[in-house]
Amino acid sequence: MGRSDQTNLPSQDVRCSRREFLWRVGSAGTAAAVAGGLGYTLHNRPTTADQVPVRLPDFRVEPAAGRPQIVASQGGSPLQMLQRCLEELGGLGHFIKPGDKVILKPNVGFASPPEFGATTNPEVVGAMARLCLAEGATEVWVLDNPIHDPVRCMTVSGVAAAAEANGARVAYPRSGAFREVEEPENTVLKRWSFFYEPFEGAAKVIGIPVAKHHSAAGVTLGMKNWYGLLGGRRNRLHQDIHTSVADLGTLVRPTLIILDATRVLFRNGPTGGSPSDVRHDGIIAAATDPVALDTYGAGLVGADTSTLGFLIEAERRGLGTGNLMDAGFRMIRL
Amino acid sequence: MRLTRTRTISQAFFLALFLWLLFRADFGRIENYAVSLFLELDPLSALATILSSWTLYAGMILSLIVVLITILLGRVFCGWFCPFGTLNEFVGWLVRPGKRQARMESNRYRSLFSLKYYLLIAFLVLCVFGITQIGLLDPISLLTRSLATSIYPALGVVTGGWGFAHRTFQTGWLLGGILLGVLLLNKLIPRFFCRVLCPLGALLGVLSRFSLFHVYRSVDKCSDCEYCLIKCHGAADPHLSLRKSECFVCLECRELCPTKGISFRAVPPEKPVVSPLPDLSRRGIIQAGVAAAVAVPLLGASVRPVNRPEPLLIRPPGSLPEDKFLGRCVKCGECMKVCPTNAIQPALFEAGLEGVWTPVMVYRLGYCEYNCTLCTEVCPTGALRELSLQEKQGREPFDAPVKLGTAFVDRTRCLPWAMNRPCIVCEEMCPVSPKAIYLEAAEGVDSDGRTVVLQRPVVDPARCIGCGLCENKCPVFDQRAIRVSSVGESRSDTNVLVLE
Repeated sequence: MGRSDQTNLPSQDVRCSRREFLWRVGSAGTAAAVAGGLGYTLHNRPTTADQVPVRLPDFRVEPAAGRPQIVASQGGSPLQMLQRCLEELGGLGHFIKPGDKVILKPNVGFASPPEFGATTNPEVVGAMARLCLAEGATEVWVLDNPIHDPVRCMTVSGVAAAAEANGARVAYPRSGAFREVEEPENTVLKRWSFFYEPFEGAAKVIGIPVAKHHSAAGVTLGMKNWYGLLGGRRNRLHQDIHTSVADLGTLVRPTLIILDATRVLFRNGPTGGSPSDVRHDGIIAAATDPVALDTYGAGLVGADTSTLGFLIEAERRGLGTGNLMDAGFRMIRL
Repeated sequence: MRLTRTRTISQAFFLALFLWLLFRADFGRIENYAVSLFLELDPLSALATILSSWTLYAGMILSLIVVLITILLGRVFCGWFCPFGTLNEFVGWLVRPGKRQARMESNRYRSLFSLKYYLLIAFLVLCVFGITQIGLLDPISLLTRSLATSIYPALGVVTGGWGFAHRTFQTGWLLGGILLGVLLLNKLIPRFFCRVLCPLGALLGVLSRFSLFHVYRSVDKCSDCEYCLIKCHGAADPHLSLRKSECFVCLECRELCPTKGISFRAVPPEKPVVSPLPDLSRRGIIQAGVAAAVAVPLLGASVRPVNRPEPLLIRPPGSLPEDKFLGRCVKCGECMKVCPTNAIQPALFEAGLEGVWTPVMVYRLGYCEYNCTLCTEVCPTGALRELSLQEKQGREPFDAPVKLGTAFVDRTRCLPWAMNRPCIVCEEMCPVSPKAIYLEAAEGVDSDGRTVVLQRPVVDPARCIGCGLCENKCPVFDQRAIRVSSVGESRSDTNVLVLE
């Protein structure tokens, strides 16, 4: 009954008004256009978004005229030795200017107490932070992307406490803090994930490695210390460690490198694990030349500097000199 | 202030305290906080571990507080303090029926509620045989475990941090899903878990038999309106002969009674207005006990880690021998929460049926950090014995480190062994001194026929502590080329390897 009623509707009821006709054709047309447009724009888009890599700035400053590129000091407190070394290089004021954002990169790769010698002496980090702030730096950031859990490393090593007590702040690596960094001159590190966030707006970068033995690279010092700024699957680099360390030297051009040899981990590195692996040299060195610094440090750890592949490669690339005399090396005893 | 208002504030406070203490169970925040406080206050975990080990471990003595409160006041723990009870109460309130009559019906006692007593009996009988499964349903363990391995990590995903460090747990979806499922049961019956399943509630229900205070209905004043049922939390029949064992002492009945005929008072006469004992039949009790006892030889006849070590069953440091471990572990997941490397994971069946949700080290996900003993500090029952760093590392006055297992190089996958490519990452990572992985100098030939100088890693099983750092950091990312198995673990007399 109902069915026949619907099929036999009076003829004027199946016609629609002009207004309704236009409205409905308009909405159907819009819906079709949106569907078609979406299909057209999304068709065959690349499946992965390609991040634009950044270049890392050069953080070097012109060395002070007539000053050496590397000095070392022995026999005082970390603060005294640091101050003497920096005076000799022309004063920290030559390198740090008021208003600078400064990055300090100690080696805090392991959750290990300072006496095990696997991490940079927190006193050295604290003293350096204090000196930078005294020169008018507005911000000093201490950071590392370590092997162990970052919070554990910064806490157990004592570096976080020392940094914060001296007015610096600690930047912890979050996944969002990494960016692709490119360096076309490099062999393996042409393009790599890098702990970039703290480097935004940074004016100066100071490496503070600790002197350690390493079974693959022979030693781990200033250039290898930049490994702690890399993200990604970085432990593949050990398949060609000497080229990788030289690449790190090409990638990161620091303002200064401070070598902490107050303790030297001369065997069983880079983790240590026993105070008996540690020798107390009480030395701090400062340099603008990364090759000279690593050459000096390698001698302290007990490696044969003439055969270390990454030193030979870094010197060949012109990153610095392995001849300490040429770099004007001096040892100052306090 | 009304007593029921005071109760709501108490519930909110203790839930917040619970959530906050669990949030504190993290290396960066733990300081000296008693992060396991609620687990230590739990008399069910205390009783279960007493039955399985005949000792009351360290902080579990605190559970006497709850026992004494219950003997004095009844199941106030359920109504005023239990964080999981509060959560159930809250969800039940959200999904409560709209009509007064329907609410009254939802709060009537059902014979189903005696299930929790039979579960309690079965669980306790298993404990006597050293099989502690109480943690599956114990509300404090269940809530701690679910939050630690699922809900907090999910908050980390949502907030991108905020102190909920991003952690991932195997079968986290299942653990979180069970919690949400239990909470949803409140739609079926309000406080379904507390009334039907909770073995801790059952234990307190039995103890409340002695309580000096209880809800008392004056038969003279009662008009039989049954309004007391509208909000009754425990479904304890306040309108009839009060079921003392079911009453959570929420005191809503006292507020709601139009004739002021209900009071909460000390030592009022029990007869004829109170039924002091749970609704149990002797036959049911025997059946529950026998059912549990039957499971014991069935488990004993199965291959299980207690008598045959499993290679991938690597327990956290300080773990007792497997049989004693299973007797004490209440599966609370506090160790999983506190582990800074995410290595401690809830087992599913890799530790056997009894080992479901007990902690197991998964080195693909984390490793045992050399300078850390946090898991042994938070364990409420001593399934993980508290270790000092000296003992863990084997320094003076201890003569050997705690070993969790032994690392094995897979020479078919290891780069310098199988592919003549340099790599020393495992040796580099090894945290002991002298290193347990040493490098054997070798020469190989690459695909172009050139000689390659190689350093091939070899494990010294006498020095290896099985911490898994080598496995965790091995660059052969999917199936690692160096892997730890449980052999050589200090806690076992049979799963041994090296002649010393």
